[in-house]
Amino acid sequence: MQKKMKNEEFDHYIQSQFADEAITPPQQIEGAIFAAMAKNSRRKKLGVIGTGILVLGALAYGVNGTMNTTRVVTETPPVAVPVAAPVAMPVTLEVLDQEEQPIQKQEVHDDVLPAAAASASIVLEDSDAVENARPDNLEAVASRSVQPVVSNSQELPAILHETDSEVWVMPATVRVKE
Amino acid sequence: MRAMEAADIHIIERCKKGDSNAQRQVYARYSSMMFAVAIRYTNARVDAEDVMQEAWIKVFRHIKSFSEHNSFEGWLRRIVVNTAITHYRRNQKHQFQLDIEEVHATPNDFEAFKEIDFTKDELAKAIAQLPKGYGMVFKLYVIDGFKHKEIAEQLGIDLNTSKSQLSRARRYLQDVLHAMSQRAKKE
Repeated sequence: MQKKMKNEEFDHYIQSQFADEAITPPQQIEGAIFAAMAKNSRRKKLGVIGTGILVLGALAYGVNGTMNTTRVVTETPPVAVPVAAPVAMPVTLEVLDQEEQPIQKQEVHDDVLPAAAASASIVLEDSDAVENARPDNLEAVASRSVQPVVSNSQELPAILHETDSEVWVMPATVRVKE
Repeated sequence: MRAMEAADIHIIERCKKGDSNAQRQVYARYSSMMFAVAIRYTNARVDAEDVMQEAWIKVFRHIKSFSEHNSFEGWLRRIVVNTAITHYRRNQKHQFQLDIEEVHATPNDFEAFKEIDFTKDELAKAIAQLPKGYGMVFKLYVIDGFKHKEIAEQLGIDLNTSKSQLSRARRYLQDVLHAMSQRAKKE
């Protein structure tokens, strides 16, 4: 009664019997599936909203931080004042030079001898009052060796430049023994 | 058939966009097939309902990864089978260890019947009588077209164990069907 049949034939027969298998599921399964789906969807939405809030919060915090930083920057100019101070220094130097100048001239005029004045290369200024009061023998020496120190504030850069190239400007007080 | 596929593609596209009406349409069209597969693997209606629910949630969650170039029904079938396997493995652990020692040579042919006139329900009942390990391998290999390598990976068994389980399942099923045939002739 029985006959041999290849495994493949039997497998194919069984497979074909189950090709269009269908059993209607109970209706409550559909409700359970879509309820679970809706729950998942709600969770996802909440997650997205929560993430959005976190991102916005982080952004707001970041913007606040940036604003604070900006405020600090606007308050910093007083800190930068010392940096500007050295720029103002030449002005004070000019003032000092201008104030000291008459004193130098005065002392040379009173005490310095011609030879001593030449060797010291004293710088004298061309003030009219001093020139007129000067004796003749001193006038030649002064015109030969004197370099102008500072006549006014605009000449300062030139004098500084000469100082850099080792042209010495000495104080005007020179005393020579006889 | 072509028109059906085109309609399916349209519905699937809507499902990918999260359209719940389209999801219900897909469910209505394929839920009977899915439930039949779930019952075939679990042999119990309650377990089949759990597998079915879990499988459909997976379907809608991962439907964006489905490519229209493949068979949608085949994709659904794979999902429900994999879910059933997970369910099976959760409940059946270390079932195959004893069988590994009982491996025998598998005959190329096996005795069958002069007349194969069993109905689908009779075949389903016969397959349901297979021991769980045998039945699982038989269903995966013969009905759902898995390879032995895939079965071994899915069930966490050795490749040779899968082959021997299939061989024994065929013999067992032959005996069951023969007994059913004899009973039917007597009646």
